[in-house]
Order: sequence, then structure tokens, then C-alpha cells
Amino acid sequence: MDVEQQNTPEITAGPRLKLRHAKARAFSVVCAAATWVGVVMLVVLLSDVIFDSTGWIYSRVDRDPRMIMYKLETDPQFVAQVEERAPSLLSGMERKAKSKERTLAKNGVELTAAELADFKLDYLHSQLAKDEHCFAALDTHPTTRERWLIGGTIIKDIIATFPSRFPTKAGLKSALAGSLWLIIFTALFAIPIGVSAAIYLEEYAPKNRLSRFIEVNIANLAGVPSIVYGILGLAVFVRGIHLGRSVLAGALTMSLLILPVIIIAAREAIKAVPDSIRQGAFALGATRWQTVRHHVLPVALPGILTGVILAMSRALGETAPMIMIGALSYVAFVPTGPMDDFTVLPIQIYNWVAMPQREFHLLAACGILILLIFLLLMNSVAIFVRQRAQRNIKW
Amino acid sequence: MVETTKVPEHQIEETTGGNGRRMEMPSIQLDNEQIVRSRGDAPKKTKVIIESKELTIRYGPKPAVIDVTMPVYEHRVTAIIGPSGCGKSTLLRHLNRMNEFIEGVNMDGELLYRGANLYGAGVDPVEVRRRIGMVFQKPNPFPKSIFENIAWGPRLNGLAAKRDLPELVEKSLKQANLWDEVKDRLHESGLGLSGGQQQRLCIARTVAMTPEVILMDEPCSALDPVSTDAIEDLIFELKDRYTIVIVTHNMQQAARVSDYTAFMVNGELVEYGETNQVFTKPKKKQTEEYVTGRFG
Ligand SMILES: Nc1ncnc2c1ncn2[C@@H]1O[C@H](COP(=O)(O)OP(=O)(O)OP(=O)(O)O)[C@@H](O)[C@H]1O
Ligand SMILES: [Mg+2]
Repeated sequence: MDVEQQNTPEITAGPRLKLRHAKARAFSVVCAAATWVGVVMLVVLLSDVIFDSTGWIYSRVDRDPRMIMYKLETDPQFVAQVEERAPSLLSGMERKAKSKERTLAKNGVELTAAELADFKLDYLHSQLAKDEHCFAALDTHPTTRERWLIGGTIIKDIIATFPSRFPTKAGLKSALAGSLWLIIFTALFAIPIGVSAAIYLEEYAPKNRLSRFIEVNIANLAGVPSIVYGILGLAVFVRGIHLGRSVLAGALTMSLLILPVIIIAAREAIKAVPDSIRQGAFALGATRWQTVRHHVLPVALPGILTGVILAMSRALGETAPMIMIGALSYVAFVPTGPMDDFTVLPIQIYNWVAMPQREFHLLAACGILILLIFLLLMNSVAIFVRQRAQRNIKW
Repeated sequence: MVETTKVPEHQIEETTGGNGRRMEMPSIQLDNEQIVRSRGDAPKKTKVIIESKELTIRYGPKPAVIDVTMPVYEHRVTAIIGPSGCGKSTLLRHLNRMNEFIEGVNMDGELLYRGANLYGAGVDPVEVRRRIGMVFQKPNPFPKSIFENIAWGPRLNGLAAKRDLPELVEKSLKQANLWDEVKDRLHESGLGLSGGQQQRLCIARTVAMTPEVILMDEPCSALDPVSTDAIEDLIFELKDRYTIVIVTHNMQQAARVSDYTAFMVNGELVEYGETNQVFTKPKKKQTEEYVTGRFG
């Protein structure tokens, strides 16, 4: 028909629309690329850790600097061998000790034999850390394979043994137990206080200048470096109220550190609950608390738990404040109460990484794996709680 | 129970029905005046349950309701109409103290509930809201099961023992004309219902509390004509047991369901009277223009 032909509309894209489509495509490509970069990095990180955590740990007692010192003093055959293979090592040691002695003598300080030996040990330490060649020079005994680290061994072996200066025997039983104690007590303090504060600020507090001031400052606190919390914990909990270097002091410090994160996340979650739900509850003659307890909290729970997971993960991984309050690095016992000394996984890992012997690096990688597994377990608990709490929520 | 009569169009002029009588009307062909006239006699006077006296409500310094004096009669439907932003919702929310959740609301004048000051010292707002329920413009079922939606309020207020709850839920859903549609899915989410069903669920939830007054803020504004019809039917039925105050933008709805009408403009009560009179013989020119659609 005539009319139909005349009215055939032009519905192809014009130049402006084409440009808009191109922009949209470019943007989605950028976003996808960013996601993939993230995924690849994660995979690389994880496979690196797994790769590093797999290998043999040899029983080479002589890689312990103190052991070497002892042997240098008592075993002339060993001295001869070292002299032959790495002459610079022994002379360097002597030189170092001499020069130290001279400089100190100028200031009128006399060194004891033990102090001199310490300087030599320091030098040996640094050389061993720097130079793989030194190990070869010091290698006397045939090496024996003692530990194969991966899979079941991680769980059985490392978890079950205390730290040691011998990589063949070292484990992180005390650190794992310390982290567990710390996390439990931190959760006990931080979650109820954080969530209650969030509820108060969102549901009860009048929206005036004071509450806005508090709001801004909580946000600021979330950005304060963790070492500052460590200093605070040291001053207030360790010294101030004489908790000592205990699990309790550590947990209180960690609670302070993660409180702002929990409060902010919980507030956002509570804020996201539609007001119409509250209104509906109030109109049925509910009190504020009943409304919060039965409607707001269940709906906000996933968001709150996400914040809690983030915060607890942070507490598990923080090292600086724990070092600050003196969570000891060498703890050969499992804390049995909140007032015991303790150490935590990241400190143990850090110590292993700082050791000169390669074997400890392997152990450190295993420690990281265990830390990750710990995190995963913790998060599954949170997911379980969330699922349970949501049984009654039906969107 | 209310008796429902089908009235053929040509009979409408002659029909005189009692107040409780509901006419099924092909509303499209009718104007408001006809609707109202078809309802016949003036409503029988009942006791005043709520009375506002020179009530002024402000948001901060800005008044939203100015010097409103009007009664609400027991077991009658009172409609509040007026152009958008004239303070209808503000007035309605004030009747059960829901305004208290808005920051900076203040009031002058008195609001009496059965002669007692609703805002007087010692009056518990929670108890006020239990007695004066509210249905909102947007259906807002809780994100819980249909059963829970209704059982929550009574359980909370200790109105029913645990074993009586199923019965109460059924009764309330029947009152809200929703039972047949949801009886097989009581434990599914209330949010899985259609908009109209959700609104009826909200009404059922309010009814389950056996309030004395039910406030409705544009309960049908988000609904299709069929759901609207269902809710209007419901209002007719509920009228026997409850006092209803309804805000609506739909003139025909006001004419159909209400016994008394209050017309507001810019926060002031321009006219209040029997619906019959307001729609057929308005005293103010402004009212006439509004109800006939020439103003607003
Ligand atoms: N929370 C609030 N804060 C400040 N002013 C408000 C608030 N709510 C309403 N107002 C003001 O009060 C006046 C009356 O509002 P209200 O919601 O009562 O009108 P309404 O008659 O219900 O309108 P509509 O028919 O559009 O729902 C308006 O001018 C509005 O801007
Ligand atoms: Mg309104």
C-alpha cells in the first residue's frame, strides 16, 4: 500500500548513537579488564604461596649460626674446611670483631669475650642471609630429607609443633592457638559493641551536630594506621591497666582497631533497610527495639556480617599493633587463658621470613597457607550464621 | 454483614440505600454527584472518636496543616481529599503519632481520642498505634512469610496465644478478602504477592490487631482497578467494626466509600461535611471546582 511505503521509518543508528554505543563498549571492556587483572593477580599470589610452601626441609643443623659458631670454636677440622672453601668468611669475621673492638676501645669500653663472639655471630648472620655460597662452604654433613611440606603434613606437622630454631622441628602450634584466642576475644568485644553502637547511631540517636561529629570521627578512626592502635594498646591496656602482654590486652587493642570498620559497615547495612518496613512495624504497635530486633536486624544482617568478616580478617592479619604490645615471637606453649602470653600467626610468619635459612621461608609460605585456611573457615562460620538468620527472611 | 446489590444503571437515580449498602457501579459513566446521590440518605450520626481542635502541624517552622478542626465519627468512613502537598498525609500520620518519627515535627492545638488528649502526658505512643492502625500508600509487607506478616503484630502485643495464631491469621485474611488466594502459600514470602494482594495483606495485618481506627493513606494509588475494587469492597465491610480515615486522590473513590469528607487546600481545611453534601451541594466554590475536576 501507498501509505505503508511512505512511512517506513529510519531506525538505524545515527552517528551520535554510534558514538554512544562505542563509549559503552569501551567502558565495559575496561571494567572486564580490571576484573581479570584482579583475578589473575589473585591466582598468581595463591599459586606462588602454594608453590613456595612445597618442598623438602633438609636436616642441616649447621645452618644455624649459633651452631656454626660453636663448631668453629670446637672443631678444628671444620675450621680448616671453611678456610679452604670460603676464606673471606673467617677473616671477615675477625676483621669485624677487631674493628668494633678498636672503635669501642677509643671510647674506653672494654669488650668481654662473649660480646666479641656476639659481633662475630652478627656478621655470620648477615653473610648467611646475603650469600648462598656461604652455605655451601659450611656444609659438612650429608643432608637428610626430614620433612615434606604440603597437604596433610601442613595440618599434622606444623600445627602440632611449637616454634623452634631448627626448621625440621619448627611449627606454629602456639601462634595458631594465640590467633584463635585473640580472634575469639576480639569478636567477643568488637562485634556486640560495634553493632550496638551502629544501632544506637542509626535508630536512636537524634540527628544533631554531636551525632554528626561522632560519625565523622568514627570514619576518621577507620583510617588511622594500625601501629597507632598498637601504641595506644601498649599505653592503656598493657601498662595502664596492667594487663601485661596478655591475650586480653591484644584482643582489646584489636577490638579498638576494628570497631570503626564494624560500626561503619553495620550503619550502612542498617541504613539500607527500607524505612517502610520500620513504619509498618511501628504502625502495628511495636516498640523501637521490637522493630529493630525483628525487622531491621534480620534484613541488615548480611551487610553487618560482611563488615564483621572484613574486620575480623583484618584483625587476624594485623602484625604491627601486636608487635607493639609485645606479642612474643617465641612462645613454646599454648595460651590457656586470657591472661597468658601469646603470639599470632602473622608474627610467626614474619619471623620465619626474616630467618636466613631457606627452609624457614618454606615454613613461612606454609604458615601463610594456614592463615588463609583459617580465614576461610572463619568466613564460612559467618556465612553459616547468615544463612541461619535468613531462614525467616523472605524477600 | 453488608449486603451487595447490583443496580442497573437506569435505576440508580431512584435507589435509596441505607448507609451500609454497597452499590456495584459501572463508574465510568457516572460522575461523582450521581455516585453520591445513589448512596442515598445521610449517614446516621455516631459518637465522635477522634477530634482535632485548631490543630496546626509544622515541619520545623513551615506549617503543613493549619488550624484544622474536624471530628471523625465512629464506624464511619471519613475521606480526606485535596491537591497534592496540602497536608493530608501529615494530618493522617498525626492521628496515630507516626509523625514522631520525622525529625522536627511540632504541633499546636489539640487532638482528642474519645475525649482524651492523644498527645497528653502519660499517653504511650506505642499503645496509640496499637489502637489506631495504619495502611500505607505503598504496600509494605515485611520480608517474611504471609503467616508471619499477620501473626507478628498480635504475638508482639500478646493479643493471641500461640495456638490461636493460625485461627487469627485465617480470620484476618478472610476479612481482607485474601484468604482464598493465599491459603495454600501461607509460608511463602509476603513480597511474592501482587501489589493489590500485598496491600490487602497489609490491611489484614492491621485488622489482626483489632484496632479501633484504621488510617489509610492512598491505599489504592498503586493498584489496578480490579484490586482497587477489592479494597473498596473491603472498606465497606470493615466499616461495621472499625472506624476508617482514608486519604485519596480519587474523587470517585471518596464519593463511593466515604460517609464524611474533608477537603483541604494548602494545609487548611476548606470544607468538611457529609460526603453527600460535599459532593452535591458544596458550600465553597473551591470545593465544587475540585470535586468536579476543574481545580487541583
Ligand atoms: N518529612 C517532611 N519534612 C518536611 N516537610 C514535609 C515532610 N513531609 C511533608 N512535608 C511538607 O508538608 C506539606 C504537606 O505534605 P503532605 O505529605 O502531608 O501532603 P499530602 O497532602 O499528603 O500530598 P500528596 O497528596 O502528594 O501525598 C508539603 O508541603 C510537604 O512538602
Ligand atoms: Mg500524601
